[in-house]
Amino acid sequence: MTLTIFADGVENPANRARLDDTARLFGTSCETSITGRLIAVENVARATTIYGRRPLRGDATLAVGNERRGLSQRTLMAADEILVIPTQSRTVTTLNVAAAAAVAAWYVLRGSGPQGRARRPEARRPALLIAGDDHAEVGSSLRSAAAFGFHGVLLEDRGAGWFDGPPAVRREARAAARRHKNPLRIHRAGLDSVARYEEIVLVTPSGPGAPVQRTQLAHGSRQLVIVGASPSELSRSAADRMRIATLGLEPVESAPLRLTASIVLAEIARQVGRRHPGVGLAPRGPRYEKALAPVTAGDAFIVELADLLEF
Amino acid sequence: MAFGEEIYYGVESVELVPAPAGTARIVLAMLVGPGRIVLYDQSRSPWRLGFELAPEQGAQLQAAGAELSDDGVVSWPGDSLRRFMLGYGLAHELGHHVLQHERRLRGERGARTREHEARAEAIAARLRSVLG
Repeated sequence: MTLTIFADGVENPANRARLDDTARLFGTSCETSITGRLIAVENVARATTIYGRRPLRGDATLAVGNERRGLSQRTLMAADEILVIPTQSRTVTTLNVAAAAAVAAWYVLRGSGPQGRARRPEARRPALLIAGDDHAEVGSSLRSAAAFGFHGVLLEDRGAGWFDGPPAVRREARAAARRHKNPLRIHRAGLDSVARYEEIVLVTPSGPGAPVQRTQLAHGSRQLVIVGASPSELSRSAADRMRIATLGLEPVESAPLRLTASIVLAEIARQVGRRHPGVGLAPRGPRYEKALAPVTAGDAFIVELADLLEF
Repeated sequence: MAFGEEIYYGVESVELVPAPAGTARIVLAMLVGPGRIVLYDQSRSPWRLGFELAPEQGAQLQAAGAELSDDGVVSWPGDSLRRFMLGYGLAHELGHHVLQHERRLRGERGARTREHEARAEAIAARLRSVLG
């Protein structure tokens, strides 16, 4: 069983490099040809969700598309299966292409249970602390956090320059986070802020720990999920409340934060679930009508029948 | 432009329904949900409007082949009313649909209402020019 990655028209060299990193984390490679089943990742109507799948059997190729245009029609037409990564934001509806590839590859290879339905999913959402030292990685991770429905995130800025870096760095970081349409509240924080949480889950890319898909990540605001830090960095006082969960990726020297964070965020979104349909008022879509109308409203006056007869 | 089963356009239905009663306006068509367009049935020619039309709307009726008289009577010779409903009613709502569909915002506004109307009308004008 092998899963290769096919980058269909990805232009940005940094994204191509991160796609190579994605492939390394899954012990595979980026190829320019299709092997086995073609699984496309695209947000189209006929796509099925990445959640609730069985683990991959046999060979397959995962296709991700251009940053702006998505997958080409040719690839979509050739696809045996089209998957969509369900997002929960009204404004940030896509992930960085490498992050999307990592999330899709993780669920395609392992499979998972379906995304749950909850009466109040927001009450189940844990707090999230991201620790990062690279501005683009931090920005892309914040983009994923917004896409997966987070409204606020704690950020330990380890030199990434999100809060007080040079203007060019901050600009790039905000572009990666799609800050112009990303309403996420980002709070400066550190690992010392774990003290106020009853339960801490530190997620590592690889190494010892419980598989993240078997770790409860929907215990609400009393729970803190940490991405981007190592267990040795947490104080001893937190040790009794801390559990380590692992993504089970291939051990590499440095796993890009955007990839690991996006997988964790996708798994949190799966466990937290979506709002149960039928709870509360369903959002009403906009209606547009074409009508012939009087030039000005209120010009007409009503004549009572009695007045008319009298006249 | 490609057509066929393999292409997804997102239009789920175009439905002909009775016109809403008790309104001072003549409602032609409406985008009632993602991919769902309704066309309202219209009275046979001639129409006695009972109100004055905006100049641009009068021009649209005339462009579709209607004959307007000073006393507010609109006559629709031949199949001009059908052409008007398709070219100005359905095409306009398809314009709204295209905008919504492109932005993949099912259930969300793709643009502010005024801008949406203007762009829908531009798409409708292009459809009319393409289809004749």
